[in-house]
Amino acid sequence: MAVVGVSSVSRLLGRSRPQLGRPMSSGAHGEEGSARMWKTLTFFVALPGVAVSMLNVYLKSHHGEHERPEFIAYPHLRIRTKPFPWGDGNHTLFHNPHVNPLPTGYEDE
Amino acid sequence: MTHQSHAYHMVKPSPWPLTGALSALLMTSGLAMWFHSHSMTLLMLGLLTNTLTMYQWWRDVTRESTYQGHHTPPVQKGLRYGMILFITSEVFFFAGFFWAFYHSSLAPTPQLGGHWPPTGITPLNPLEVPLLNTSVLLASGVSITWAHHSLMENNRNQMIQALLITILLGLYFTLLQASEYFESPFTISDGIYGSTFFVATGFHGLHVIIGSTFLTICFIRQLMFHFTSKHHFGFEAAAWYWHFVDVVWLFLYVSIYWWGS
Repeated sequence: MAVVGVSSVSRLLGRSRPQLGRPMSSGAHGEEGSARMWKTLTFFVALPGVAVSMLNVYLKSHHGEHERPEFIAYPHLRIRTKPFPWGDGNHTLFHNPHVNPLPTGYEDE
Repeated sequence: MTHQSHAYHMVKPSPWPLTGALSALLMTSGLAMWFHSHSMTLLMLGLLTNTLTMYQWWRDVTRESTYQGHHTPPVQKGLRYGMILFITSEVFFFAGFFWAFYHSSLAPTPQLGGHWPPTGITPLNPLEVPLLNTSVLLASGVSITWAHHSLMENNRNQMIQALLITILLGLYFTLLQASEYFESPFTISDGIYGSTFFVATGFHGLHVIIGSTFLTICFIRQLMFHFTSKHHFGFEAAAWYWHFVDVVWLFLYVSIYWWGS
Protein backbone atom coordinates (compact mmCIF):
# COMPACT_ATOMS: atom_id res chain seq x y z
CA MET A 1 0.00 0.00 0.00
CA ALA A 2 2.91 2.35 0.82
CA VAL A 3 4.61 1.48 -2.47
CA VAL A 4 1.46 2.37 -4.39
CA GLY A 5 1.28 5.60 -2.38
CA VAL A 6 4.87 6.53 -3.23
CA SER A 7 4.51 5.79 -6.93
CA SER A 8 1.27 7.75 -7.20
CA VAL A 9 2.90 10.71 -5.44
CA SER A 10 5.82 10.57 -7.85
CA ARG A 11 3.31 10.55 -10.70
CA LEU A 12 1.73 13.66 -9.20
CA LEU A 13 5.19 15.24 -9.09
CA GLY A 14 5.55 14.59 -12.83
CA ARG A 15 8.80 12.62 -12.57
CA SER A 16 10.04 12.05 -16.12
CA ARG A 17 10.63 8.50 -17.20
CA PRO A 18 12.19 7.08 -20.41
CA GLN A 19 9.73 7.30 -23.32
CA LEU A 20 8.13 3.90 -23.80
CA GLY A 21 5.90 3.36 -26.81
CA ARG A 22 3.43 6.22 -26.31
CA PRO A 23 5.28 9.51 -26.84
CA MET A 24 3.80 12.04 -24.40
CA SER A 25 5.77 14.86 -22.74
CA SER A 26 6.24 14.76 -18.98
CA GLY A 27 3.51 17.33 -18.22
CA ALA A 28 0.64 15.40 -19.83
CA HIS A 29 -0.78 12.26 -18.32
CA GLY A 30 -4.15 11.66 -19.98
CA GLU A 31 -5.23 9.07 -22.50
CA GLU A 32 -6.99 9.78 -25.75
CA GLY A 33 -10.78 9.64 -25.43
CA SER A 34 -10.96 9.50 -21.65
CA ALA A 35 -12.64 12.90 -21.52
CA ARG A 36 -15.61 11.35 -23.30
CA MET A 37 -15.85 8.68 -20.58
CA TRP A 38 -15.87 11.26 -17.79
CA LYS A 39 -18.42 13.35 -19.68
CA THR A 40 -20.64 10.27 -19.97
CA LEU A 41 -20.18 9.53 -16.27
CA THR A 42 -21.07 13.12 -15.43
CA PHE A 43 -24.34 13.21 -17.36
CA PHE A 44 -25.51 9.61 -16.92
CA VAL A 45 -24.35 8.76 -13.37
CA ALA A 46 -23.25 11.76 -11.33
CA LEU A 47 -25.93 14.32 -12.20
CA PRO A 48 -28.81 11.77 -12.21
CA GLY A 49 -27.55 10.72 -8.76
CA VAL A 50 -27.93 14.32 -7.63
CA ALA A 51 -31.41 14.46 -9.19
CA VAL A 52 -32.50 11.29 -7.39
CA SER A 53 -31.18 12.67 -4.09
CA MET A 54 -33.07 15.92 -4.69
CA LEU A 55 -36.26 13.96 -5.33
CA ASN A 56 -35.67 11.98 -2.16
CA VAL A 57 -35.33 15.16 -0.10
CA TYR A 58 -38.45 16.65 -1.67
CA LEU A 59 -40.51 13.54 -0.98
CA LYS A 60 -39.38 13.41 2.64
CA SER A 61 -39.66 17.13 3.25
CA HIS A 62 -43.26 17.30 4.49
CA HIS A 63 -42.72 14.70 7.17
CA GLY A 64 -42.47 16.14 10.69
CA GLU A 65 -43.17 19.70 9.66
CA HIS A 66 -45.39 20.38 12.66
CA GLU A 67 -43.40 18.58 15.32
CA ARG A 68 -41.22 20.59 17.62
CA PRO A 69 -39.64 18.97 20.66
CA GLU A 70 -41.05 20.20 23.97
CA PHE A 71 -38.70 22.63 25.71
CA ILE A 72 -36.86 21.22 28.71
CA ALA A 73 -34.17 23.46 30.26
CA TYR A 74 -31.37 20.89 30.24
CA PRO A 75 -28.19 22.32 31.81
CA HIS A 76 -25.95 20.68 29.19
CA LEU A 77 -27.67 22.48 26.29
CA ARG A 78 -28.10 26.16 25.33
CA ILE A 79 -24.84 26.98 27.07
CA ARG A 80 -24.10 30.67 27.66
CA THR A 81 -20.68 30.88 29.31
CA LYS A 82 -20.11 34.28 27.71
CA PRO A 83 -22.36 36.41 25.48
CA PHE A 84 -21.99 36.15 21.69
CA PRO A 85 -20.25 39.25 20.26
CA TRP A 86 -23.29 40.15 18.13
CA GLY A 87 -26.86 41.30 18.71
CA ASP A 88 -28.01 40.86 22.28
CA GLY A 89 -25.36 38.20 22.85
CA ASN A 90 -28.00 35.55 23.46
CA HIS A 91 -28.68 34.30 19.91
CA THR A 92 -26.47 31.94 17.90
CA LEU A 93 -25.31 33.02 14.45
CA PHE A 94 -27.88 30.91 12.55
CA HIS A 95 -30.68 31.34 15.07
CA ASN A 96 -34.11 30.24 13.88
CA PRO A 97 -36.82 31.29 16.36
CA HIS A 98 -39.12 28.47 15.30
CA VAL A 99 -36.73 25.59 16.03
CA ASN A 100 -34.04 27.08 18.29
CA PRO A 101 -35.13 27.81 21.87
CA LEU A 102 -33.19 30.29 24.00
CA PRO A 103 -31.96 29.09 27.39
CA THR A 104 -35.32 30.31 28.73
CA GLY A 105 -37.45 28.61 26.10
CA TYR A 106 -38.86 29.15 22.62
CA GLU A 107 -39.20 32.82 21.70
CA ASP A 108 -42.47 32.47 19.85
CA GLU A 109 -44.43 30.69 22.55
CA MET B 1 18.02 38.07 -22.26
CA THR B 2 18.11 35.98 -19.00
CA HIS B 3 21.43 35.75 -17.25
CA GLN B 4 20.93 32.65 -15.12
CA SER B 5 22.46 29.27 -16.00
CA HIS B 6 19.88 27.24 -14.05
CA ALA B 7 16.16 26.48 -14.44
CA TYR B 8 15.00 27.80 -11.09
CA HIS B 9 12.97 30.93 -10.40
CA MET B 10 14.77 33.67 -8.48
CA VAL B 11 11.70 35.63 -7.39
CA LYS B 12 11.96 39.44 -7.50
CA PRO B 13 11.52 41.32 -4.18
CA SER B 14 7.85 41.64 -3.29
CA PRO B 15 5.86 43.51 -0.61
CA TRP B 16 3.16 40.88 -0.27
CA PRO B 17 4.78 38.63 2.35
CA LEU B 18 5.03 41.70 4.62
CA THR B 19 1.46 42.87 3.95
CA GLY B 20 0.30 39.29 4.49
CA ALA B 21 2.03 39.07 7.85
CA LEU B 22 0.64 42.46 8.88
CA SER B 23 -2.85 41.41 7.80
CA ALA B 24 -2.52 38.28 9.97
CA LEU B 25 -1.61 40.47 12.93
CA LEU B 26 -4.56 42.78 12.24
CA MET B 27 -6.97 39.85 11.93
CA THR B 28 -5.89 38.16 15.15
CA SER B 29 -5.76 41.30 17.24
CA GLY B 30 -8.96 42.44 15.52
CA LEU B 31 -10.70 39.24 16.59
CA ALA B 32 -9.62 39.84 20.18
CA MET B 33 -10.83 43.47 19.98
CA TRP B 34 -14.18 42.30 18.65
CA PHE B 35 -14.68 39.75 21.40
CA HIS B 36 -13.55 41.95 24.27
CA SER B 37 -14.11 45.56 23.20
CA HIS B 38 -16.99 45.16 20.72
CA SER B 39 -15.13 47.03 17.98
CA MET B 40 -14.85 45.53 14.50
CA THR B 41 -12.47 48.11 13.02
CA LEU B 42 -9.19 46.19 13.34
CA LEU B 43 -10.85 42.99 12.17
CA MET B 44 -12.33 44.63 9.07
CA LEU B 45 -8.97 46.25 8.31
CA GLY B 46 -7.30 42.86 8.71
CA LEU B 47 -9.78 41.12 6.40
CA LEU B 48 -9.36 43.86 3.78
CA THR B 49 -5.56 43.79 3.81
CA ASN B 50 -5.61 39.99 3.78
CA THR B 51 -7.85 39.90 0.71
CA LEU B 52 -5.73 42.51 -1.08
CA THR B 53 -2.56 40.56 -0.28
CA MET B 54 -3.95 37.30 -1.62
CA TYR B 55 -5.27 38.96 -4.78
CA GLN B 56 -2.01 40.73 -5.57
CA TRP B 57 0.33 37.91 -4.57
CA TRP B 58 -1.43 35.31 -6.67
CA ARG B 59 -1.87 37.81 -9.51
CA ASP B 60 1.93 38.16 -9.45
CA VAL B 61 2.41 34.36 -9.53
CA THR B 62 0.20 34.24 -12.64
CA ARG B 63 2.21 37.07 -14.21
CA GLU B 64 5.51 35.31 -13.45
CA SER B 65 4.32 32.00 -14.87
CA THR B 66 1.87 32.53 -17.71
CA TYR B 67 3.24 35.83 -18.96
CA GLN B 68 6.95 35.65 -18.08
CA GLY B 69 7.60 31.90 -18.37
CA HIS B 70 9.40 31.40 -15.08
CA HIS B 71 7.61 28.12 -14.25
CA THR B 72 9.98 25.59 -15.80
CA PRO B 73 9.50 21.86 -15.01
CA PRO B 74 11.68 21.91 -11.87
CA VAL B 75 9.82 25.00 -10.65
CA GLN B 76 6.51 23.29 -11.27
CA LYS B 77 7.73 20.22 -9.40
CA GLY B 78 8.48 22.43 -6.40
CA LEU B 79 4.97 23.85 -6.59
CA ARG B 80 3.56 20.33 -6.66
CA TYR B 81 5.51 19.44 -3.52
CA GLY B 82 4.21 22.65 -1.96
CA MET B 83 0.57 21.97 -2.70
CA ILE B 84 0.85 18.37 -1.50
CA LEU B 85 2.45 19.52 1.74
CA PHE B 86 -0.19 22.20 2.24
CA ILE B 87 -3.06 19.78 1.72
CA THR B 88 -1.34 17.36 4.11
CA SER B 89 -1.25 20.08 6.75
CA GLU B 90 -4.98 20.63 6.19
CA VAL B 91 -5.59 16.92 6.67
CA PHE B 92 -3.97 17.20 10.09
CA PHE B 93 -6.06 20.31 10.81
CA PHE B 94 -9.27 18.36 10.27
CA ALA B 95 -7.85 15.33 12.07
CA GLY B 96 -7.91 17.39 15.25
CA PHE B 97 -11.62 18.09 14.95
CA PHE B 98 -12.39 14.46 14.21
CA TRP B 99 -10.32 13.52 17.25
CA ALA B 100 -12.40 15.88 19.37
CA PHE B 101 -15.62 14.42 17.97
CA TYR B 102 -14.65 10.81 18.62
CA HIS B 103 -13.21 11.64 22.04
CA SER B 104 -16.56 12.94 23.19
CA SER B 105 -18.89 10.63 21.28
CA LEU B 106 -17.21 7.31 22.04
CA ALA B 107 -17.48 7.86 25.80
CA PRO B 108 -20.47 10.17 26.41
CA THR B 109 -20.39 11.64 29.93
CA PRO B 110 -23.20 11.33 32.50
CA GLN B 111 -23.95 15.04 32.01
CA LEU B 112 -25.02 14.24 28.44
CA GLY B 113 -27.18 11.34 29.57
CA GLY B 114 -24.51 8.69 29.05
CA HIS B 115 -25.38 8.19 25.37
CA TRP B 116 -24.72 9.78 21.97
CA PRO B 117 -26.44 11.78 20.61
CA PRO B 118 -26.91 13.42 24.02
CA THR B 119 -30.31 13.84 25.65
CA GLY B 120 -32.33 16.61 24.06
CA ILE B 121 -30.49 16.53 20.75
CA THR B 122 -32.41 15.53 17.61
CA PRO B 123 -29.72 14.88 15.00
CA LEU B 124 -30.31 15.61 11.32
CA ASN B 125 -31.54 12.67 9.27
CA PRO B 126 -28.47 11.48 7.31
CA LEU B 127 -30.69 10.20 4.50
CA GLU B 128 -32.18 13.61 3.66
CA VAL B 129 -30.18 16.77 2.82
CA PRO B 130 -26.82 15.35 4.04
CA LEU B 131 -27.18 12.53 1.50
CA LEU B 132 -28.01 15.07 -1.22
CA ASN B 133 -24.91 17.02 -0.19
CA THR B 134 -22.85 13.84 -0.55
CA SER B 135 -24.17 13.21 -4.06
CA VAL B 136 -23.50 16.83 -5.02
CA LEU B 137 -19.84 16.71 -3.98
CA LEU B 138 -19.26 13.28 -5.49
CA ALA B 139 -20.79 14.50 -8.75
CA SER B 140 -18.52 17.55 -8.70
CA GLY B 141 -15.54 15.20 -8.38
CA VAL B 142 -16.65 13.45 -11.56
CA SER B 143 -17.25 16.70 -13.45
CA ILE B 144 -13.89 18.16 -12.47
CA THR B 145 -12.19 15.02 -13.77
CA TRP B 146 -14.09 15.49 -17.02
CA ALA B 147 -12.80 19.09 -17.10
CA HIS B 148 -9.22 17.94 -16.56
CA HIS B 149 -9.31 15.33 -19.29
CA SER B 150 -10.95 17.79 -21.68
CA LEU B 151 -8.15 20.24 -20.93
CA MET B 152 -5.50 17.60 -21.62
CA GLU B 153 -7.22 16.67 -24.89
CA ASN B 154 -7.36 20.34 -25.98
CA ASN B 155 -11.16 20.47 -25.89
CA ARG B 156 -11.70 24.06 -24.83
CA ASN B 157 -15.50 24.24 -24.82
CA GLN B 158 -15.98 20.97 -22.93
CA MET B 159 -13.43 22.02 -20.34
CA ILE B 160 -15.31 25.27 -19.78
CA GLN B 161 -18.65 23.44 -19.58
CA ALA B 162 -17.34 20.80 -17.16
CA LEU B 163 -15.61 23.33 -14.90
CA LEU B 164 -18.78 25.45 -14.81
CA ILE B 165 -20.83 22.41 -13.75
CA THR B 166 -18.27 21.72 -11.01
CA ILE B 167 -18.46 25.28 -9.69
CA LEU B 168 -22.28 25.30 -9.78
CA LEU B 169 -22.37 22.04 -7.82
CA GLY B 170 -20.01 23.58 -5.25
CA LEU B 171 -22.31 26.61 -4.93
CA TYR B 172 -25.32 24.31 -4.59
CA PHE B 173 -23.61 22.45 -1.73
CA THR B 174 -22.91 25.75 0.04
CA LEU B 175 -26.51 26.91 -0.31
CA LEU B 176 -27.87 23.56 0.91
CA GLN B 177 -25.56 23.56 3.91
CA ALA B 178 -26.43 27.18 4.78
CA SER B 179 -30.12 26.22 4.68
CA GLU B 180 -29.38 23.24 6.95
CA TYR B 181 -27.62 25.55 9.41
CA PHE B 182 -30.69 27.79 9.62
CA GLU B 183 -33.15 24.90 9.93
CA SER B 184 -31.19 22.81 12.41
CA PRO B 185 -32.97 22.26 15.75
CA PHE B 186 -29.63 22.25 17.59
CA THR B 187 -27.08 25.06 17.74
CA ILE B 188 -23.36 25.49 18.37
CA SER B 189 -24.17 26.27 22.01
CA ASP B 190 -25.82 22.88 22.56
CA GLY B 191 -22.98 21.30 24.46
CA ILE B 192 -20.19 19.25 23.00
CA TYR B 193 -22.52 17.86 20.31
CA GLY B 194 -23.15 21.34 18.94
CA SER B 195 -19.51 22.36 19.26
CA THR B 196 -18.09 19.35 17.42
CA PHE B 197 -20.82 19.42 14.77
CA PHE B 198 -20.61 23.09 13.85
CA VAL B 199 -16.84 23.52 14.16
CA ALA B 200 -16.11 20.48 11.98
CA THR B 201 -18.82 21.13 9.37
CA GLY B 202 -18.22 24.87 9.60
CA PHE B 203 -14.53 24.64 8.74
CA HIS B 204 -15.42 22.19 6.01
CA GLY B 205 -17.92 24.67 4.58
CA LEU B 206 -15.27 27.38 4.66
CA HIS B 207 -12.98 25.08 2.68
CA VAL B 208 -15.75 24.46 0.14
CA ILE B 209 -16.03 28.23 -0.33
CA ILE B 210 -12.24 28.55 -0.68
CA GLY B 211 -12.17 25.64 -3.16
CA SER B 212 -15.04 27.11 -5.17
CA THR B 213 -13.18 30.44 -5.32
CA PHE B 214 -10.01 28.69 -6.52
CA LEU B 215 -12.03 26.88 -9.21
CA THR B 216 -13.64 30.16 -10.27
CA ILE B 217 -10.21 31.74 -10.69
CA CYS B 218 -9.25 28.75 -12.86
CA PHE B 219 -12.46 29.25 -14.86
CA ILE B 220 -11.56 32.88 -15.56
CA ARG B 221 -7.99 31.91 -16.47
CA GLN B 222 -9.24 29.22 -18.85
CA LEU B 223 -11.47 31.80 -20.56
CA MET B 224 -8.34 33.96 -20.93
CA PHE B 225 -6.38 31.13 -22.56
CA HIS B 226 -3.87 30.82 -19.71
CA PHE B 227 -3.83 27.00 -19.67
CA THR B 228 -2.29 24.68 -22.26
CA SER B 229 -2.99 21.00 -22.62
CA LYS B 230 0.42 20.21 -21.15
CA HIS B 231 0.89 23.01 -18.61
CA HIS B 232 -1.95 23.86 -16.25
CA PHE B 233 -0.68 23.33 -12.73
CA GLY B 234 -2.97 26.00 -11.24
CA PHE B 235 -5.93 23.92 -12.36
CA GLU B 236 -4.39 20.70 -11.05
CA ALA B 237 -3.77 22.29 -7.67
CA ALA B 238 -7.40 23.45 -7.56
CA ALA B 239 -8.57 19.96 -8.52
CA TRP B 240 -6.45 18.33 -5.80
CA TYR B 241 -7.86 20.77 -3.25
CA TRP B 242 -11.38 20.09 -4.44
CA HIS B 243 -10.96 16.31 -4.11
CA PHE B 244 -9.56 16.87 -0.60
CA VAL B 245 -12.67 18.88 0.31
CA ASP B 246 -14.84 16.06 -1.04
CA VAL B 247 -12.97 13.41 0.98
CA VAL B 248 -13.26 15.46 4.18
CA TRP B 249 -17.03 15.64 3.61
CA LEU B 250 -17.20 11.86 3.19
CA PHE B 251 -15.47 11.43 6.56
CA LEU B 252 -17.81 14.02 8.11
CA TYR B 253 -20.84 12.29 6.65
CA VAL B 254 -19.87 8.81 7.84
CA SER B 255 -18.61 9.91 11.29
CA ILE B 256 -20.83 12.76 12.43
CA TYR B 257 -23.98 12.51 10.35
CA TRP B 258 -24.33 8.74 10.06
CA TRP B 259 -22.47 6.98 12.91
CA GLY B 260 -23.08 9.96 15.21
CA SER B 261 -26.84 9.75 14.88
